[in-house]
Amino acid sequence: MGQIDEVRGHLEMLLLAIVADGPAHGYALVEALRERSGGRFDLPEGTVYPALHRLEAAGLLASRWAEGAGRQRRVYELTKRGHSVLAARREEWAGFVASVQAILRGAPWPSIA
Amino acid sequence: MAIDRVITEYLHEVDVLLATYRHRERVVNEIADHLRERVESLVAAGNSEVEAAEVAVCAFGDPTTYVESFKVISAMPNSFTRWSGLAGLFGPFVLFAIAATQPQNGNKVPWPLLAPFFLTLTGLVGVVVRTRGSFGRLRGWSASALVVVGASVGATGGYGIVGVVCVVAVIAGLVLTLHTTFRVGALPRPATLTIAVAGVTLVAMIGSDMKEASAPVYAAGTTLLIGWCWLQYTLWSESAKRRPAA
Repeated sequence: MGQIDEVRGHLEMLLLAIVADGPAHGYALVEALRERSGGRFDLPEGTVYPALHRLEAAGLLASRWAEGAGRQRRVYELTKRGHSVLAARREEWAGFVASVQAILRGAPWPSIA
Repeated sequence: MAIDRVITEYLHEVDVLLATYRHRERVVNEIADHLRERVESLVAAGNSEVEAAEVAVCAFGDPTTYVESFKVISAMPNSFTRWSGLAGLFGPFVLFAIAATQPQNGNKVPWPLLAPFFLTLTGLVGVVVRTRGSFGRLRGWSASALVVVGASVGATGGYGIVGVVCVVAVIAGLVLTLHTTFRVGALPRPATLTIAVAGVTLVAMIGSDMKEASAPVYAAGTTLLIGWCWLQYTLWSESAKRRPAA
């Protein structure tokens, strides 16, 4: 599985994390995703919008039209529920990463007393 | 200008593919804004406008790869489907309870029955709303309209030929709704199947002049009610645990 396919599975969590830093429109979110990943997460940009709409339909994001750079932009921000879901996802992810790292490091098999 | 042509053609393709999505206009506007911002950034980096427009459209991706994802969102549970599920769950029981205590009055429908009757219809509209992304705008609304209008007119005084038209409208609307609900699979298919089989059996029994109070009619009616409650309980309960995929 390629890196792009892997990131698709976590796209919603990543978008929540970026929006948590402040309200942003779709283009800015795509740019932030690319920049923060050092260019690794270079998804087809169209895939980000269905994810944003899904998060909004689930009540994790709220959106509104706002004036910016001389045109109307749809700006997304995290809802209260979005904050709590993101906190839970961060915790789950940290636990998952710790478990994978423990296995990859080749920690000794616990002895059976 | 060539740049406008490239972007306009792309947006038109998205617009056509999103035909049944209720936020279609918003999505197209968002994509237009995104593409223009990308073009500006590419032009600032030294690309020609036409080149920039083509790169922007290419980076956004083939519309057929993401429009289906929008249609799935249409079918997500929301607060209306949740409350309509509760209405549809209690409606038939209240209806039967009131009907059992009301004296028979010829062909006239007692007015107290109308409130639970409309509660039940609300449950059906909830099913349509829950699957509307796959119904298509026209088919979804026509299914709801056939059932709601047919049942309302029939219940409040549709006799003779009007009554027959109402019954046909309700059956056509129910068939459309059940078929799409089964096909979409967003709600439990066995529940939909139970309603369909019990409904057809019940109509066949009544059509063949079987006594309304006979045991087979009660059995078919109870089975129909079980399927209906199953569907409505799912509507009521699923919104509470909705959560987007990780």
